Amino acid sequence: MSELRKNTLSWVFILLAVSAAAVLLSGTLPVGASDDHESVRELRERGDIMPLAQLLEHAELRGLRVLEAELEYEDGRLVYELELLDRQGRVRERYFDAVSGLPLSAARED
Amino acid sequence: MREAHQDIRVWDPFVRFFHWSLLLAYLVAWISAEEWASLHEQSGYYIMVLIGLRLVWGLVGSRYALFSDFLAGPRVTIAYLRALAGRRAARYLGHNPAGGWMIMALLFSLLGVAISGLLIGADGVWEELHEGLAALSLTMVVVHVIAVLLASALHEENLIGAMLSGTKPRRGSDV
Repeated sequence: MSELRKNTLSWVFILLAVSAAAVLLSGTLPVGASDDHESVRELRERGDIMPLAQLLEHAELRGLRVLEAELEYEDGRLVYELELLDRQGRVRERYFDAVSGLPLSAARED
Repeated sequence: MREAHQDIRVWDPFVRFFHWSLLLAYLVAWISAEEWASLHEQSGYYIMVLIGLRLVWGLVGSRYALFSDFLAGPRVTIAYLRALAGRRAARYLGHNPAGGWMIMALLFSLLGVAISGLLIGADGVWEELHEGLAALSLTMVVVHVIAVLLASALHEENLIGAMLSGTKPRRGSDV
């Protein structure tokens, strides 16, 4: 490999290290991940969203195992994204409006 | 008499970045220990990333960054140390044989510090190892700095400046 290409590769390595530093530092700062957690709790305490436990009482979800639950902003509204294991052992993703608790879309299969 | 100076690029950008950002992360790790746990841990992860990249760079990097360039066998290394004691050691453009082994010792002791730190849990053994290796690494850093100053004096050159600029003046008698 020519020295010029080694020099370019050298900068690629620097970029990798700097990216790693950026990712690590973003985890160190007091804002960030913990911030989301705060706001979920606040939203629930203020009654702005339906608690997850109440959502899981939903008729469509009874008897299903919840593998993962996430609260996300989708197109400006709060949505629960649930990963479920159905009775046939298949993994499904379902979306529910976090305020009303109504299902948003048809089941998606992986 | 000294020959006319011709500067030659020795340390590529990554080697210099690695050197100084490793020093910075090492300082941050020492200062944040016992003070700021998350910053201390992140600096440890960063040191691991840096050393990982440097180990790869030692295999694929530019000429003087390659392990094959600066890792000498025991006979050459001992001969170099003897010559050094007699103040007649040859000047190397890259790392000299003793410096090469110093670098490997630093890399692996710092890697050991980081990994042992990662394993600290309820078990007190890792914590003791972590602290012991950290103290060892500090000793090696001190030896490294003294050796760089002595080598600079021996060959009448500024090795710290070379690690910043990346260049060294070429002389006829260089190895």
